[in-house]
Amino acid sequence: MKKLILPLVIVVALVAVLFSGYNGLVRDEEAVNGKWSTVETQLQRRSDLIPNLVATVKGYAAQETAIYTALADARAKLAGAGNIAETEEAQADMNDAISRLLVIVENYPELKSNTNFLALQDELAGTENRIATARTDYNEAVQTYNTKIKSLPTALYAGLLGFSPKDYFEADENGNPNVEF
Amino acid sequence: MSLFSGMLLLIPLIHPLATSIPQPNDTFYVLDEVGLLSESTISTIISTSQELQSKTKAQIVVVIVQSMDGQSVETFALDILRDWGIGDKDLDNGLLILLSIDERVSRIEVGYGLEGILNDAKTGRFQDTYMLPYYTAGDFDQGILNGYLAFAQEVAKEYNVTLDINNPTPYTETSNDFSDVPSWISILAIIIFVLIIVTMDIRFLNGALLRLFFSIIFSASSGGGSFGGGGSGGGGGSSRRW
Repeated sequence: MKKLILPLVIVVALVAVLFSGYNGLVRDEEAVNGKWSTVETQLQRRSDLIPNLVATVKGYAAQETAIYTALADARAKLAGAGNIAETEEAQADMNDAISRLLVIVENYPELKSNTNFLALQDELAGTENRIATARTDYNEAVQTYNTKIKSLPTALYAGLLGFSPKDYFEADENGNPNVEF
Repeated sequence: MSLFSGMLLLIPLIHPLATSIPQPNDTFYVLDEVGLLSESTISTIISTSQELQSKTKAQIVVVIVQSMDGQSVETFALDILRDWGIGDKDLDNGLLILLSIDERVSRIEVGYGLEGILNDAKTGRFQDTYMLPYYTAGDFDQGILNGYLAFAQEVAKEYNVTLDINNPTPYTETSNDFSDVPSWISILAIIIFVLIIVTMDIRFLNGALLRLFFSIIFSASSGGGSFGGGGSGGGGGSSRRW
């Protein structure tokens, strides 16, 4: 009976380490998921601003039909996106279209001083800022999580328990222009 | 190699630790590194913010810096809001009014909890209406005070409280309000007593008492000072340049 005590204690200790390690990974992974969810929320928020933006601009520049079509297409593509790759592509299109719209607006000084447009401009800038903030927060959560999985002793069992490293949010590698004012 | 260059792309998307943002002072609610605000404005801001905090837990802070040393105003402002913990931890009802003189930029940074009543468009409109005209004319004191009062009233309205704004309670500098003024003999006795204690402390305790004394003084202060409630934000607000 005595011979069993030491192995038993070791087993219990290992199980305890495993449990707390596992719970830590769950918590960190959920933090990453939560931050990703925030990124998606902010991207959706930007998409929701578009109809109002288009309506305001159209009041002064009805003839710029090409850009309105581009924006409508980008929104539709976003709504129809099935996976992350498609979503990213749709977001890139939206980025493009918004930038072009703002360049066009430069030609209409009355539009630029319209109070509704000014309000929308603030909302758009605020939303872009929220997207950038959400992405940074997401990357920091990923950093915490990835560091945990790759450090000992967690690295020894993380794979077994089904935890794999997550991807960082990468900067616009396609040279996508960010919306700037 | 591609992994490394891939990592380089991440640099702007991960915050460096300990960025050079200013730290709060004792009053917490006003940090004027450039000296643009009048005493009266400073005391109005402090007393109103204290009142707002005690009635609603919301915190409105004013920060004026000479320069942001190359940082973007959005990052700078959000870092201050989060680092100082402006606003209540659970309600996230913090508001930062930031001015950076060299870059000629003004930003309102709104905590999560105040985004409902102070959306980006409204903060922009407030800046345009209450603040920017003064900045352009070089009167930062009035610009800040005017804008601050507008924001304070808006927050108070949301929480259904009234603020004593038109008759602000004067800010008392320190909590050392001596009600009886000791006579000169008592003062002398106190000074001699303190000197004896300090000397003995240095001789026998290697200054342990002195260190303890200073650490108490510079950590949590009671009554006179204020702190961040631990609030946070997500990047809402608006910026203006003049």
